[in-house]
Amino acid sequence: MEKDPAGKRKALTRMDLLLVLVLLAACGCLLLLRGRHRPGSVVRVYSDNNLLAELPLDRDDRFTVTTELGTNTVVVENGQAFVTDADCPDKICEQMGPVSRPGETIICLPHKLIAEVSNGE
Amino acid sequence: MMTKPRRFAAFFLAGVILFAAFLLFPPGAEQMISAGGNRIEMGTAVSATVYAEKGRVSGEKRKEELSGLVSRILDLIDELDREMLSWRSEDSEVFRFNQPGEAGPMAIRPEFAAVIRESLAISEASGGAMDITLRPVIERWGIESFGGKSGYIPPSEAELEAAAASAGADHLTLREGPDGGYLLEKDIPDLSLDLGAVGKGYALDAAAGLLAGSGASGAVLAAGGSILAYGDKGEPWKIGIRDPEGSPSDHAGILSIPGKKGGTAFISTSGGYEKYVEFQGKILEHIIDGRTMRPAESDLYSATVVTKDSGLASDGLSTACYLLGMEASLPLLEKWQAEAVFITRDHQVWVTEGLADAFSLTAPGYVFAGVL
Repeated sequence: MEKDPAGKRKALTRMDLLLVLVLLAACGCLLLLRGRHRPGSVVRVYSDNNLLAELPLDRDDRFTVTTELGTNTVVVENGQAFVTDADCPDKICEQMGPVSRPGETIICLPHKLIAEVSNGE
Repeated sequence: MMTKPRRFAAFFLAGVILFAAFLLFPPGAEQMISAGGNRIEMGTAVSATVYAEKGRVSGEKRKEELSGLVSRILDLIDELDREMLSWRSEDSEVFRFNQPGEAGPMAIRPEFAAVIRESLAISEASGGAMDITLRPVIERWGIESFGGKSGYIPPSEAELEAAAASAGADHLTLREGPDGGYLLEKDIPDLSLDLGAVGKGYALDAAAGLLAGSGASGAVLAAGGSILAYGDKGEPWKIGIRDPEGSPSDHAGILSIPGKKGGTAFISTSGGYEKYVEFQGKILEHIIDGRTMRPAESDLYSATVVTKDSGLASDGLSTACYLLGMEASLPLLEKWQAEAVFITRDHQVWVTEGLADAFSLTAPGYVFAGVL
């Protein structure tokens, strides 16, 4: 690189500054997103190993599963999923939530129910 | 040509971008992709996560391969349960053997013979505490319906005696047949098997065999209270040991097990907190002691057993150790070259020498008491 001729030295142009700010903002946004669940996350509800429903985590919703074994309701609220209104004897499934990160699960063994967070792939 | 401030800006930007890239894709994790799945098998929750190095194949394709491997592992466990281990499944060797009055010896597969042989060895070493012939007793206690149900009534002494009369590993004989095959025989007609104490561990053994030829670099499988950590994922495997007084996601301590290419570690925990019923203010646990034919009355909260090469041993031994208590467990651990973590009811945590570095206590309510 050549030595800058005297007099032609310029301060950062406004465009340079803008570019730096935009990139910083982009990095900031990415960092913020990392801490949260990915936007495409869903909770998949399985009964006896069959997929029954896929609920996006970014929309509040509820899904009730009733089989001959019993009833559980999977609730999505504020980006998290949990199980409520379960009529299983131990109610361990209700204690297991809420879940929001891909790979996290809630399992109701007596009713053979699995609610699993997935990144939607 | 670039002016100095511009050059500074360019370096600054490059720095910011590198920093962001580092945060988004930390080195190490970048090299691994993973796939996982959950199912209900063997009456319990089974989960499998497999890891592979990214390599040159496209990430999508590799990920598909890994998902396929997860399905194959879970299918294998399902098949083993249905065809060999389950007392519920009419297609299983256990079910066939359990039919009352089955006269004469039954020919069994070598794999099933290996399960029986190892189980009998653990049973004998534990003085009959861990026993795979307790099906009638377990049924009499109604263990399957344990879990918060109200109105539970335990069996009467007479009922229990009758059930106990048709149980006991000494009524079971495994021998080689004339053609080199294996024969399983009972000398009382009602003897019936329940492999609940060893089946999940054996399923993990089979899964480890599948993983060995799969191209996956690492995997972690959990079947109920039994875990397999296979191979390496670029960082140590972290296995939580449940806090017996906490909720299902609380742990009392963590085992950090270094990954090793092609290596295996099997970790099983047994504890009464897992399933129990209350009767007249007394807690009846789901683990039956083969010596008394009654629910366990252990001075332990839980026993965790770690082995290098046998899921079946880690599973069966954890039940045996839970029933025997800490002192009496030590000879068994030595015999199977296994390590253990004991959590006592007075909140002490003891570990064997081989786990002294691997274990760290995480729950405030417990005291690290020492190395055995």
